[in-house]
Amino acid sequence: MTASEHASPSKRSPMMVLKIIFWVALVGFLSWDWLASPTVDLRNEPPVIAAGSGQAPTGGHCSMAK
Amino acid sequence: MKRLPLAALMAAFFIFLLWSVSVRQALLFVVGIGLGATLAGARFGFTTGWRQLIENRDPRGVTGQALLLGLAALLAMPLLASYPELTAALGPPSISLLIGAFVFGLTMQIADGCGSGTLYKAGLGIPLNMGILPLFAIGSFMGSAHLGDWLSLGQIEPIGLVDMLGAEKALAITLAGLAGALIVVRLWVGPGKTWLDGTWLWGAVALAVLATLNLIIAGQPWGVVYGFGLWAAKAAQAASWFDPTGNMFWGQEGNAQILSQTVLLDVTSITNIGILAGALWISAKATGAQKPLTKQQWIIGLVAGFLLGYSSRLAFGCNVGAMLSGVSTGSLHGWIWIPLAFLGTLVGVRLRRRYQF
Repeated sequence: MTASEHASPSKRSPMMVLKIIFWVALVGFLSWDWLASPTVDLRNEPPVIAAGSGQAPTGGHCSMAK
Repeated sequence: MKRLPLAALMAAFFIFLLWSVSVRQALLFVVGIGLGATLAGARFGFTTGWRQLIENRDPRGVTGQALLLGLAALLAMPLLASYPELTAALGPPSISLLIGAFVFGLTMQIADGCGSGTLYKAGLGIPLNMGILPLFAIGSFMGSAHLGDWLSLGQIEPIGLVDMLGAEKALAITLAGLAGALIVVRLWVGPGKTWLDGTWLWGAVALAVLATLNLIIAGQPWGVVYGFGLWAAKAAQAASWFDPTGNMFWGQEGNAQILSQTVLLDVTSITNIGILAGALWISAKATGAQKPLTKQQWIIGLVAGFLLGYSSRLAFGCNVGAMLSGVSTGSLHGWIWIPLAFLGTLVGVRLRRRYQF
């Protein structure tokens, strides 16, 4: 039997707790953001496919200096 | 969690995006899931590939990465030339880029993950990467908030090979550059090595296709760290710790607009969420226990995670935004990023050994 198979549920539990905290925090942040932000203007939706739309992209990118 | 309920949750989120946000964002979420599942399923680690080359003279990882960059360039450059509304990942060559890329390369070895690596490993449930993610976001936000000061040290305008030379010449230069890099790798590893295996191969092909889909749908190349910085910026603004007005980066019209709306409308944020979801889906069948870290390793790892985020903004991207997207869309800053980050990695690998990660 390997060392990992010996690991008891109690030894695994801190990792499970960390996973739960991580996902709850992420879902909590996204929910807060959705509720706190202005309603999305569905009539002003960006093009489904940018290529060929003729519209410049409006998203941010990490290569941008400003 | 098992795969079926996870798939149901992802489908529900996709429908929510489709109904309440936009069709584009729903599609980008699916692209993100594909990216996350590929990164996690193939264990396509930029950080690991570089470390294996340095420590074991194993070229498989970097060959896979060179293949990814070449394929992505082959797909992206003709698209950029044909559709003027598509944008390249153009960062300014600058002092900030030199320092940022070096520090990023160093800290990614300690944190055992770059931008995409931190994301997919957090999605897989690896404790250090889950702990690093919020600090990466804070670092990314602070780096962007200080970017004006860093840029004042010296910069030139971004250089885009496709705009300057056209797609054919830009592609030829890019492929020649990648071939040159592989020749240097060959000189380092010596004869008789396995250059590529199936996992790196399918990972490279799938990531190149998905990165191209991101470019076609979003109009901009795949990126990771902008989304992290945005999340922390929103939280800091809500807590009244940060006023974006007057800030060189966040006060700029486009960023101020993105900051004022839900992150679900942000291109990078939505692919990041998809990557986490895709990796979580893979983790449902993943096995293997993680070696527990000591208190010292945790502290060093978390500090490295913060610096990883900060330096990624100074460097105008991580392995994805600067290296993959920069090089494949013909940005000179991507070619400057690689050697500087590799120099940092040479130091980072030693520090990693020193602290027994």
